[in-house]
Amino acid sequence: MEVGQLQRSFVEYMASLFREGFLDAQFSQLQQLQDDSNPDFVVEVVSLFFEDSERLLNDLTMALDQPNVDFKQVDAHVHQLKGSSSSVGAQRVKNCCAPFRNCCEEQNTETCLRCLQQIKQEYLLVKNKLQTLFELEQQIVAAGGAIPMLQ
Amino acid sequence: MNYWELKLAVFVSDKVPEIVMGDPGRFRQVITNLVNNSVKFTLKGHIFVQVHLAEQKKDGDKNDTCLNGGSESIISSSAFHFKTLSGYETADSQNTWNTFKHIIADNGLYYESATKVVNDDLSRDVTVMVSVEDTGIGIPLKTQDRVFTPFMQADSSTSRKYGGTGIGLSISKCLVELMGGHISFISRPKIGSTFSFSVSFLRCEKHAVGDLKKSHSDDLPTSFKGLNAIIVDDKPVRAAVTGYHLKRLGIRAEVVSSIKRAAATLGKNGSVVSKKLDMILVEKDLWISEDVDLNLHFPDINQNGHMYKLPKMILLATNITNTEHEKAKAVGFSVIMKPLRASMLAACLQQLIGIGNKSRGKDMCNGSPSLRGLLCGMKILVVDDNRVNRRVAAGALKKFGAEVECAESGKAALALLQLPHNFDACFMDIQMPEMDGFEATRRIRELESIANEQQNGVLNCDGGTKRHMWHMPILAMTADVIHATLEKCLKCGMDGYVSKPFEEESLYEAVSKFFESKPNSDK
Repeated sequence: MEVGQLQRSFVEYMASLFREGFLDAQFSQLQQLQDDSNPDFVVEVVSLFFEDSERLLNDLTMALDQPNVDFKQVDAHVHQLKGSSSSVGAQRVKNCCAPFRNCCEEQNTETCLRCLQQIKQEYLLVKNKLQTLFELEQQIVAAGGAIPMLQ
Repeated sequence: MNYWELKLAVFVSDKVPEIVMGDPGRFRQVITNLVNNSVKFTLKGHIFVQVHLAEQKKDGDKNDTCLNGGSESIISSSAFHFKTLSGYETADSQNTWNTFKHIIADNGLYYESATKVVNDDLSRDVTVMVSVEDTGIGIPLKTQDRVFTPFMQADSSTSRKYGGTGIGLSISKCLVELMGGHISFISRPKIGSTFSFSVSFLRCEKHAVGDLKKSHSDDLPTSFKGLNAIIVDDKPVRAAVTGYHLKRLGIRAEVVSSIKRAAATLGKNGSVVSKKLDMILVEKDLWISEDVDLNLHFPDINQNGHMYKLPKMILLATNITNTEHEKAKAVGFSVIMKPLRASMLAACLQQLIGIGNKSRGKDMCNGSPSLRGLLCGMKILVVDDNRVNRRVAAGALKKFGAEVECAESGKAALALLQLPHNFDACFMDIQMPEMDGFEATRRIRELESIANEQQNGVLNCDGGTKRHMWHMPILAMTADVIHATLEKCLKCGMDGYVSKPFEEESLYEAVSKFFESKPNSDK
């Protein structure tokens, strides 16, 4: 595919991610922080987010699998997840966290498990989307083009 | 060999018109060639570039080329007390000083920003003189006559030791002569060389430069115009350079040759100078040798019930050790490193004085100018147990020019904040396991009050003097900005909060609050 086409796809895809609420303004902020002295900032931060989130989701699964669930511990994990998703602009993941924490307060394992299910889904979706976005970026660069900045 | 002590400075006389017509590329090429040579061959002392108009040399016939390199006059002062930039002798010290004396008198360090320099010379040509003076190894007497000959270097070992082809100066000579000028030098082996050249430019009518690219000076902030400064420096050439940079920002400067004298000027009750003084710039070597505490000489804050704004204290240094830096900060100085550049000076002053472009426009590329002004050069500690948050917070602060270190827990933060430390501020996450942000802040304040008591205790024995108290600004980073949290933040000793992730506006609000009341506040 020719560079111009790739760039247009990239811009459209990015716009759709914002429109559909997968990403919010914070993600744009991250893009603003990327420059020549820090050329891979976004990819680096997002990779950290992926690693941390997967670890946390595992921990959550294990914690909710216990006979005696430690809701304080569960809440602490969700708090972490809320923080990191918020920092990278993963809006839909972030939005799952508040209801999850309410369920922790109510100490309801049932509802917590449902929240966990939902947050896993949202996480996988946004991970997929971001990976697609990064692949598009790589294709553009490989074809000799520049990554368009969304305004 | 201490390279750090090599001083580099530039001084452009007021009388040189702002815009002239000529060949900027070639002009730059010659200057670059001369400065490069100086840099190669100078290991101590200074490299000083001066630009002035040919007419300003009032000392008779010294315009002629002087290729003999030798100087008959015997200078009787000791090695470091020449009236030059670094104090070291130069190839033509006496002459250069005579010329420079006139130039700075012409310029006047009392700078009236409103009045334009009246130019009664209406000829179309203007002859600009540039001199590059260094205190390098100099040129051996017997090779001075072939300096401008292509491919000749001073001796056969030069290219091995210093590199180069030996063609630069001959090219420079050709270029200068093609531009209607003249190049010459004076050099004394082991003392230094001063190369000078003149170029004829055409004067330029202001209205003729409509589509000329804006010069760099137009990017300087105008918010410092009319401020008053005192420069404390016993080296007139060096002081003149500092004054020149301040002048470019519209700041009037008076030069005083010792801290004692500065103190005397300040001490006068009701003195006009001390009432309107915005800043004092002290050269580090003076501060080290004199043992005068300026803090003692600032008039009382509440004299006659008037709120008096203390002038900012700035220490100028070419190099500084950590210990010296700490000592300076403890007494209330902010350190600005040389060589001075007007733009850098403006950024540092913005963070000290808190003035500057308050435009909140969408200038996101480098961070808003105002935040850059506040945070540039500041050393900040970010404490958060979540590494994604740490990385993003650090990235944002670095974008505004701050130097950032991260800690992943309250405990780690405490280890880094043992006094004395050189952090300017701390951004602290509240909810952390083991030790939360409130607890960590409480402990930091405890450490500070112990250190402050100790200082006071010692000082009281000596008869008591006012000293700078340890108080590092700590801002809470929180996603939940509810009133109750803010109360708790303030109770445990925090100075404020910012929302997480950072939002430029609220970050600016929070940071500008406590940076404005720095550095002489006793919280």
